[in-house]
Amino acid sequence: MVSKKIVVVGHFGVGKTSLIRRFVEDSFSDDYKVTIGVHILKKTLNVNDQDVSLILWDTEGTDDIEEIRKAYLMGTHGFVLVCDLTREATYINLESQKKYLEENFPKTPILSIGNKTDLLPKGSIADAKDQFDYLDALVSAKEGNNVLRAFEKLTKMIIK
Amino acid sequence: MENFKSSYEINSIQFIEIDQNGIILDSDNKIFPLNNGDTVADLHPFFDNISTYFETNESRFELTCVNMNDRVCDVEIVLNDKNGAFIVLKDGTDHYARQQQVAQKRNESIIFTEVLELRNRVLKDQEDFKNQFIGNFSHELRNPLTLISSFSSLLSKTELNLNQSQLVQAINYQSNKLRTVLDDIIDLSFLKTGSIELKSETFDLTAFLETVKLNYSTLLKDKSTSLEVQIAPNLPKAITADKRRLEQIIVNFLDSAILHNTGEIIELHFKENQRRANKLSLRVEVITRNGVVPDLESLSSEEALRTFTKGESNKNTGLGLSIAREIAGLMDGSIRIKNVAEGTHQIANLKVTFPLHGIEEVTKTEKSKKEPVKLTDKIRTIIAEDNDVTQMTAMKVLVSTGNFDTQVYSDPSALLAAVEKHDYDLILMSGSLSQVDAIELLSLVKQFGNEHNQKIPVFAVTVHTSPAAIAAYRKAGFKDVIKKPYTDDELVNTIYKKMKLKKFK
Ligand SMILES: Nc1nc2c(ncn2[C@@H]2O[C@H](COP(=O)(O)OP(=O)(O)OP(=O)(O)O)[C@@H](O)[C@H]2O)c(=O)[nH]1
Ligand SMILES: [Mg+2]
Repeated sequence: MVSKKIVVVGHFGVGKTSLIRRFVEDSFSDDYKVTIGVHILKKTLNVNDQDVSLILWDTEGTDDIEEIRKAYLMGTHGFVLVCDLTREATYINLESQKKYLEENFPKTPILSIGNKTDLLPKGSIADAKDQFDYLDALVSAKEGNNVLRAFEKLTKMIIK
Repeated sequence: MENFKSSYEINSIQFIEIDQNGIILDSDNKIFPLNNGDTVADLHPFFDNISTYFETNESRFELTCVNMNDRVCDVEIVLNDKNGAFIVLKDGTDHYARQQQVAQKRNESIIFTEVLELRNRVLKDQEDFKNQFIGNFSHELRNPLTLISSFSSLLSKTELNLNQSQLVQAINYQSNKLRTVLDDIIDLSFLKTGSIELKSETFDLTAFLETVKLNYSTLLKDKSTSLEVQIAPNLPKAITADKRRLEQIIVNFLDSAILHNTGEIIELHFKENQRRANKLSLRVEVITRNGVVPDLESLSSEEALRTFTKGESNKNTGLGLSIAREIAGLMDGSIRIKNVAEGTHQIANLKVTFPLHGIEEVTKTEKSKKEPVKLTDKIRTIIAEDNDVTQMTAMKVLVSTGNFDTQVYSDPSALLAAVEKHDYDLILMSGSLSQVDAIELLSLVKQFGNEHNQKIPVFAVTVHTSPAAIAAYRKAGFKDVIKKPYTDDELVNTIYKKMKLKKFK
């Protein structure tokens, strides 16, 4: 079975750990436990009739993407760049974070995700779509919306 | 000794040797028990990608703080000359646990501040939007209201039978009431957005309160109530403050007191809390001993509405207290409604100043009885206005006095042509005419008008009556600003007051 390394990056508290937990264990907790260093989990996904073993690297949140320890990022097949739709500080410089990854890891797919859609006022998702149209997916780790779909999307980008 | 030792990070270290396929060749098992011949990937998914490290030009890799099962390790991978690698695991679990706690505190507090800021911003945006909306909406109502107000007032001055005159009076009364509500709403939205500044003037306190009392004499007589004004003897004779705003606070107190009072006396006290140099903390207190005045702002909106609608007083819009509170805030003060048995103390503590050497000039109360003005020559007037309703209002009001010859222009170029050819005595100019701003239009009039017209008074007739806007109009050369909505008397009297009427007599 092919195995692919996916690194999840983004500001602290945006829900990286929660997204992975939702994806891997289908569970969620409201408590916030800060990740330091890196946690690594595995999950097998079937896309395009093919089993893919995903090695998910859940990194420590940083203010600045360049602070991420370079060694963590070696051999990455795909990035998930997460921001919190309710905290401007986490998405204001998303474009430049993305650019940084593109420059340092050419040809590596990046999926940018806006998390915590459940916290946006109901009915404003449609408006938010316009505001956040530079994001590839709007998800909620809490309610599970779109989480699986987002990881499937990235996996397809990786194996194509 | 133990303390000293613990200041060194004494980590357990495990050495592992693997081949290029990740098969364990040797391990000293200091941290994790491993068997030779197993693959490292079985220990932890971290090693799933171990082949990556064999594919680069480098031979040494360090990855700190990797969470591995129940431990947190720094990992070193050193490629060896047997096409395999040595792996060094350094157990930093305790060290990283402390780091984690620090990061936890830091992140939580940053996020907390961010969320707080955001919430404040959202609230402020909503508040601004609301005030803006209310302000705009109220402006929209002004033109039709100006018409209703002034026409009903005009009508009431004509020959009417009793029934008609009662109807007209009712219209006039209600439209005036609506005007007050509108003014209050606009006032409040200005106060809330902080676009009102206080105007200071020095005035005689006793004379000021006498005027206030005088204004209430009829209303009080109707209710067979009397107003007792007491000024503490140690207060300075004159104070410096925004007289109109101070009066607004007092009027609000008195209106509520009169509305809820069931006894014979309402007391108005002026006292001194304290003073320092020329600064004075002034206490204004309105006391009802029979009748409780509710604090509308502390009631639920439903209760407040009930209390408000019960009010028959034509002046009470229910917004008065909010306005008074905002004004008191501007005066570095506060307002308190204190209910006592059977009665209420409405208290405003306000910061004012006073002249240290007394004042000579004492504001005189104007009481000139108005005789209708009759002119032999008519005032040739241009009404520059593009709103039909306002055009008609101004025209009717002016013509009804018999003293004006009016011409209406709703187009700037037609207006400029007129002031070039014919002589006029007065121009009433709306805030903007077909998108041209009044201030620009005035400069064009001065430029293109004939010599005579360059000197005639021009009044701005506008809804923009903030102090800043008025100052801007004056500076641009307007004689005065007439506020919309106006009553017939307001319009006519402002014109009379500011024009030299002698040459028309
Ligand atoms: N309402 C809501 N809360 C979420 C969602 N995802 C995560 N959270 C909450 O956000 C907080 C942070 O989530 P984590 O998953 O720990 O965030 P992280 O990005 O891993 O944070 P670091 O490890 O510090 O970088 C936790 O309190 C979560 O419960 C979501 O979709 N909706
Ligand atoms: Mg985390």
